[in-house]
Amino acid sequence: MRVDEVLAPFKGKEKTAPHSYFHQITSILNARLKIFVSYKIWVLVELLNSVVSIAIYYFFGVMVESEELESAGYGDSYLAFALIGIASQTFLWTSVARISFVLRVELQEGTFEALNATRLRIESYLLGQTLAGFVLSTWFFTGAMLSGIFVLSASLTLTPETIITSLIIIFFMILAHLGIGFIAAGGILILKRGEPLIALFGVLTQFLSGVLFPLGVLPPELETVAMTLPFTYALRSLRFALLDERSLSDPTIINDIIICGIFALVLIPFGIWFFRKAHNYAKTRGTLGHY
Amino acid sequence: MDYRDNEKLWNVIESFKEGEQKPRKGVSFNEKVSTVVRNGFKIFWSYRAWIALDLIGTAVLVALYFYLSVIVDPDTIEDAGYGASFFTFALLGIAFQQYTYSSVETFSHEIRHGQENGTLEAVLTTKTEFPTFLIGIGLLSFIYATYFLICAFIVAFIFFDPVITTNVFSLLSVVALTFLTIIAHICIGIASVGIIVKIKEGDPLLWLFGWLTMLLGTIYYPLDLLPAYLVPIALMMPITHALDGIRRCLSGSETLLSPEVFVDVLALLAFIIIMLPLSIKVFRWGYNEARKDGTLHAY
Repeated sequence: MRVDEVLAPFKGKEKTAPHSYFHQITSILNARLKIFVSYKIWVLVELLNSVVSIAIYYFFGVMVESEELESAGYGDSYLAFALIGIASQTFLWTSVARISFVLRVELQEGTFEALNATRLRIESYLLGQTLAGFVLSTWFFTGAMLSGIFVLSASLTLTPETIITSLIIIFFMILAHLGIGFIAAGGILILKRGEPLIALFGVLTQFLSGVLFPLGVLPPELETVAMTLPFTYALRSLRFALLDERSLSDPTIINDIIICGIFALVLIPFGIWFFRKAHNYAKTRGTLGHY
Repeated sequence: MDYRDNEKLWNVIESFKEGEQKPRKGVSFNEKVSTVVRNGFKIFWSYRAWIALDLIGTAVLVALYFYLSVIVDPDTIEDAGYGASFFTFALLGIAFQQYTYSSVETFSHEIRHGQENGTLEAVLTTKTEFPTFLIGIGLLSFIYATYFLICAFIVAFIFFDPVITTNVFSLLSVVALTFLTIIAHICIGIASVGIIVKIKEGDPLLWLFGWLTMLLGTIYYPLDLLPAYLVPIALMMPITHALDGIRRCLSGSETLLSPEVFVDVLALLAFIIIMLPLSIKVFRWGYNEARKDGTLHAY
């Protein structure tokens, strides 16, 4: 009798676990955001970190001669120039390093193999994690921009037109780098390491894309290398929109968006293909469970 | 099969038998510290790809400040008494700032790492005392900071020609200032370990220190650029005096006998005299509380 009672809940029509792409993606997103909200102190500390970084360039800006900025078309405020560079880096990091970081943690904690044993599709997992990363990035980006504008009086041109233009540029900036993120994540699955390479990519991008200084100060050969990075184009257009009031009709901005689009068209399919190959490689070799 | 037939197994079993075991001699403090350092160095050296990438990262960082110096007005640096090169100013700032990181953050980083991985309590159940373990970690970290400093200078001298004006006496003064800087920051590191072993979560003291150092520690700009109400806070921080003294010695050949550098030394000594007993007290409180709670291993 007691055995029947125990077995009763397991009998009858089994409810199937929801497995649509959309449901899986929103479940991952929900889970990540719940974790994010539970770390209130961390959220506050990270936000304050961004504010302190911007405050450093507020003081630093006092020493900067504005001629180089003005001749590049970025106005005369170094704080505004640096603010856009530093704040938009958060999207770069999320696009490039988010999936690798999450994978590393899952591999180290031994939860990635368990995830693979469920009905969760790996694409849903990646997309859910990436979306969660971008929600966090948007939070930090907004926090940094608002504190730069309202606390430190950075002079940005904020009109509906420039804001819409900026959002479109950021969207293409993210797309252009997502493929690199997938490739990096695939590399982690195969090699079980790779963060230093991602970190180096970040440092090189910060240096060459002109996050802290206009590209005009670089020697021509380094400037040529800088023009092979999608972040250079995205950052240039973002600054033109927010510092020089240019809109989507501006030829330079159109050109930069097209270039970011081409990077996205080439890198995203290749990145997904590479990640799938790496995932299958790790699955067939049974190395999903260790790091 | 009788184990006596297997010579290797026989030797292993014999070595565990009572009476034949040689009594273990006590391991000295120096041996323990050098073991921690050697062990850390072996781990460091095993990550060669990481070392190479770290070197490239250092070179890129130095290059970043070189090109940033192109848009900086050198008069602001000259007016502050640090020569006419922003690049040299920034190079000295970022290179010596690594020592403050080593003195302060390494301890709490290693403690947290040990707590997360559950290895801290295992170490503490051995005959190695906690302070000995910490000194080993600290020493390793200073070796790394020195390595970073040397790499940054080599890259700077090869590619970017920093303006360093110095002599033997000013170099010796820099060594003395660096030593005082390390001791002053170790005080903060010790206090932060006391807090982290007790409260487990991220260390508020460390966050505050990190923010204040970056913002007010004169790493990227001279003190004169700060508004008047922030200057007293900046002057309470050891890094401000350390960098002022080091820059004066390496950019203007001054020595400990120069009035400005002498004031910096006095300020660092005052900080150490006040903070050392205080930080030991905080450390003892946190350590003893965590031992009483039985949560020394938990994070």
